[in-house]
Amino acid sequence: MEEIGVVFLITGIILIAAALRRPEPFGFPSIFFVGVLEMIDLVSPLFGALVVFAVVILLLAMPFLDKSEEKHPRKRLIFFAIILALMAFWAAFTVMGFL
Amino acid sequence: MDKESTGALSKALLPLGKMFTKSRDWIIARSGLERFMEETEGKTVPKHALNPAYCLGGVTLVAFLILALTGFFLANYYEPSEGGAQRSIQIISTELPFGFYAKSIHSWAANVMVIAVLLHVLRVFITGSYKNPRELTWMGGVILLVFTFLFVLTGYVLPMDERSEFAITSMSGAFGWLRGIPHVGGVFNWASDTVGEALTGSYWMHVTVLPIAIILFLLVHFYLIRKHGISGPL
Repeated sequence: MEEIGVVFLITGIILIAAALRRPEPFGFPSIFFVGVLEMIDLVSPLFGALVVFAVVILLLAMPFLDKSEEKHPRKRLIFFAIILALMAFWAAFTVMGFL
Repeated sequence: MDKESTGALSKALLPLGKMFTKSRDWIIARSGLERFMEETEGKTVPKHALNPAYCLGGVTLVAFLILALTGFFLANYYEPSEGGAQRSIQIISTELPFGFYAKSIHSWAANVMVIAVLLHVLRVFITGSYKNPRELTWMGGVILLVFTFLFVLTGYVLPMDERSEFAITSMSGAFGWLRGIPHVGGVFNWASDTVGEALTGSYWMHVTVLPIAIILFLLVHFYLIRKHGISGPL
């Protein structure tokens, strides 16, 4: 229980300390959306929306695709690779967006 | 403090303590909390879940609560109109007591929430915690992730600064076509490329629709976590 309390306490202290120093953490443009916007710019708005929907559907369907009883990522390499590929895809577009 | 004054203080506080116990028992007896407390009594967090990676869902919740509190405060002074938005943000930042802190804590908590929820999803995925019987918990969590991103995007629109322009361009570019759906297109006004419409739609989503939706999904999420417990170790 103490460990959970410590995590919450740290979160609170970081938030308050950060707020006292500067109003925005990452400045502009937003690190979370720059990748999607880059994809929209490079390909098309509809493609950007379709990719977002496809990722959400893929995540929703994950328990029904990965039905084995294995939990360790080394024993679920395909699914682990899918998530790594998604993250790499997102990171690449984000970097391109900042260039 | 000597023994005598400690004794006097305890004596003075005794009626207060009794009043607190009576009030607590009164509330528990009438609210049905008694059954809940009996059910939760003795339930402990498994050892493997004491790892900070398992606390990310909790960090997300704490960030959400901070956002709700600061958001409630900010909403009292914010003016959701093209001309008034920037002016009200200026007043909040410079004239309102604690306004600057509320605004920046709101902004930082939003970033903490997004990072924590992404890491939480990643942890759940890596540890395979979405497997039988926790499929619904995972699906609800994915929907909560979508709501979180929508929260951030609609929040970007509200200050009517360069960030808002960025958010309106992203949202109208990716989701503007949803407005063409017959009968329900108006629900997606937040994805309009017209500044006024996007501002009104985003404000409506940010302070009404999304908070209600996120609270409902969170309650279901917590109920399912309670029902199935925390997933086992790898």
